[in-house]
Amino acid sequence: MQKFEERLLAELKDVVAAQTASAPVDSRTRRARWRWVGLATAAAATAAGLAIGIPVLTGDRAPQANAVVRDPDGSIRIYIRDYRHPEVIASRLRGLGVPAVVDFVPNDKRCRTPRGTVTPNNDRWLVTGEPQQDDGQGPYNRLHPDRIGPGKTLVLEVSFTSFSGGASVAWMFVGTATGSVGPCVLVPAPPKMTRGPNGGVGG
Amino acid sequence: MAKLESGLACISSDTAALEEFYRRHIEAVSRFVARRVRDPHTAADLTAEVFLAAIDSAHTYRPSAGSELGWLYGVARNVVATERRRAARESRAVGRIAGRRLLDAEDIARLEERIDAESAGRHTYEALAEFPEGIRALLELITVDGLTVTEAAAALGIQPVTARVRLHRARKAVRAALSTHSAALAYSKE
Repeated sequence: MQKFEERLLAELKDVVAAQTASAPVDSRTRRARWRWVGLATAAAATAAGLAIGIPVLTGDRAPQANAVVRDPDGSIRIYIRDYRHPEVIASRLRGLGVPAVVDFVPNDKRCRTPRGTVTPNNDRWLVTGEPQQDDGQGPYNRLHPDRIGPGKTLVLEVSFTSFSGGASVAWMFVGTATGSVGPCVLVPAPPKMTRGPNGGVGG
Repeated sequence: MAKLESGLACISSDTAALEEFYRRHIEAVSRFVARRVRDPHTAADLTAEVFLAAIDSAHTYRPSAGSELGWLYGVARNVVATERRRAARESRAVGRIAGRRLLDAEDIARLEERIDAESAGRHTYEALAEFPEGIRALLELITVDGLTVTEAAAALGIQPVTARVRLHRARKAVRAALSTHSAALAYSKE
């Protein structure tokens, strides 16, 4: 085989390896290990134009493959368990008919703006968290694709904090784009957007 | 090879099994895609997405239901159909697994050659766009990809008898629309 095919095989093997690295975790343990980002974080992030409502993984839970699951009402559960392959989430959302651009960024960075004609969707509750629900597969955020609007692309920028034994979502930008979305070029995040593993907002 | 006889679920957890599966089918998938798109970048993206979708849904494959390649063509067809619907809404592709990111100039030239080589099948594929979805899906797999009726039925998750009924209904319309390729349909194998 030639170059492209070999490179693609390497990427696919990375995806499978990431899934294989996951270990089953007892749901009771998971339930105890995730919690909701506090209102202080929500206030700070919303002020910065960010959607909030992020279930957070803490502790030593092993990373699992990212997944998206459509429910009968048309909404989609998004499980973020691994911070290496945002393109897998984007691809799986597209498989469900939702055009999406997804990026993972370290806690102290964010994607340089503008990336295109992107509108934040804080007020439309495009993506909501459900802190009281754990379906046995861990916490998730719920996407409401009917609120994206025709011809638009979902834009998710997920900031994560790495720490000993795991990682957690720090904040999530949710928006919709008209037309193309540029690549994510990392730039330093404003201090108030950074958050430590204990949930406190930096800056 | 033995581990694949009972199904394909292992390709989503075993990189060696995945590699075996990938090497067995990359050529067929590449040609399948080249019969449907003209742009090498889109072809690279779709090829990547077909294998990702196969990894995701490998647990659904049952050897008793049909050939591995037939099943994979069913997966690939869903991926391409999704892309076609998306492309109808948007002016350009955005942020997928980025198969195109893996391309260099030589790859692009090689993909263009492959796309050229599959032009006859692609013309047939494009001509089928006017048919109702259920019939089009069946005709695609038979006339564009060369599956038997039974294989195409398995790929689409329908009974062979259902496929034969659809084929019967489609034959007259296809003969009128596709004078060049109707022979392939007339002589399609069970």
